[in-house]
Amino acid sequence: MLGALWSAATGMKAQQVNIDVTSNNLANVNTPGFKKSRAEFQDLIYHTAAEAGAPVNTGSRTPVGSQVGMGVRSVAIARSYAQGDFIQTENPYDIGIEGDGFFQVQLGDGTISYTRDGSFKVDANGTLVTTEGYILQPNINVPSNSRNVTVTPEGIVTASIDGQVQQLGQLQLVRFVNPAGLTSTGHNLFKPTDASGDPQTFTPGEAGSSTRLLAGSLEGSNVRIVEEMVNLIIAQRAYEANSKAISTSDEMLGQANSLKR
Amino acid sequence: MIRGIYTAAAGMAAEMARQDVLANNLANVNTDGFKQDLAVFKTRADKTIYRVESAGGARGGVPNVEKMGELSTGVYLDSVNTQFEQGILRQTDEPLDLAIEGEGYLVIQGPGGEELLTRGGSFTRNAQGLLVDPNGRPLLGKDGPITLSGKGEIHISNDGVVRQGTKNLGTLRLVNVDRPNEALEKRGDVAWSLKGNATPQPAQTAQLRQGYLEGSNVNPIRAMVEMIAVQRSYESSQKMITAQDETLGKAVNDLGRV
Repeated sequence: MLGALWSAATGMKAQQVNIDVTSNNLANVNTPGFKKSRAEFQDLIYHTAAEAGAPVNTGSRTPVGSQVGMGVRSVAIARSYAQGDFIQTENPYDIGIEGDGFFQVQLGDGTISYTRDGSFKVDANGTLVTTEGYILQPNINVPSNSRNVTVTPEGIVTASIDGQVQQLGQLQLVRFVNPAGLTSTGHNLFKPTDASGDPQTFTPGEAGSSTRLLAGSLEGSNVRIVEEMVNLIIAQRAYEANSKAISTSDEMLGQANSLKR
Repeated sequence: MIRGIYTAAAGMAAEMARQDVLANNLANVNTDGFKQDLAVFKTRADKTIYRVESAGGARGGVPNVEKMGELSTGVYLDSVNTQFEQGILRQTDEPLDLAIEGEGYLVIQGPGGEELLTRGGSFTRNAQGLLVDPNGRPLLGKDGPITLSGKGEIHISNDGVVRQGTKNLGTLRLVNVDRPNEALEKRGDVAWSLKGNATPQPAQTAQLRQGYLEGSNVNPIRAMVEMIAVQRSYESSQKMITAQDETLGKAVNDLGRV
């Protein structure tokens, strides 16, 4: 009986995680480059009350055992790298990635992080930086007298300076064997882990790669509101069902206690 | 009289076990690839009841023993059966989500190298590019684990052929077992281990669906209704005990006063 109480409690806890993850997705429905997550669950170990194939007193063997489960656990919160929709901004420094890959940015402490948020700006030195001032790697310098800055789908940045078209640099992207293994550090940034593998630099549009850059567009969040709402309903009802299992078990225990007057 | 108390207590204990199973089902109402369990009860062996009349009269000292009939002595949890019916498929569009339609299982490699069967379809890559489940257990193809590279779209056909770009990376093992309740044992983590000499056969009817997940097959409505039934039948057994306790109380405390 106490088993039922704890099983149902694990169920409530798991659905709480589910709601936490869904809420974060919904909160980031308008965050450029945001990738949604989903909570994944697995059942816990089983208590084997009777082994299948055990002899029974009549001399035959039980064909089916009695395995009572202990509940559920949240095993992973997996991020989906599905493409987000493109939002046209007409800003030349907004660069969306179509396909896989990440931009590399250098943080204030010199370390490298990765992002799909392509809303870049030009800082006081003419360097291409993220909204928070992290420097895009490799460095792209935009002289102050540049006009008509364009980024080709292959990542070549050009501008017209004093009436002449000049190449300012080549954008490079990075891919991982297992992007789902990246850890999210907030601020739309990811850091590699032992599970993600090492970063592999590549140029968009190179042979064998279908990745292209889309200047003047931002990759929006890949959260789909309807999906999250349905998930919220399911999580809430599952939470409720488990709370009912707890109250039922509690009432049954109360009845057992009331046997002794 | 006292026998009746034990019979009713057996009823309460069995309903408690059923509630444990139900609670586990409900806890896993949202666990992909989970198959619900059903507690099966059996009545305890019947006992033949005799009436023994005092000796005397024409029979000359031999007690008169008369058979009255059979009396059941209660109920117990006989087995917990897993119900393998199909769960609902949910579209996720994730390239490494695999749902199985029909009777069959994917094969993963457990930590001890043993083969485990699963219907939990959420897979990912590890740092080496190996196709693994959320616990890091490799998904097995016909020629062992499958290694994906970082680039190129992944296509998995209905019969389990994995392609990345134009490269064929192997065929997933899709197996089935006869009488799954006897051949499989739940291991947790939505996996089953094979029991004894059970050998998996290539699945005949099962098909893979890439970009879908098979949800839990727990039916919350049925679970709720069953929980009401559990609670009420537990309550009736409890009332039986109280009633017999009161009768016993009368016998012990009041009879002597008459």
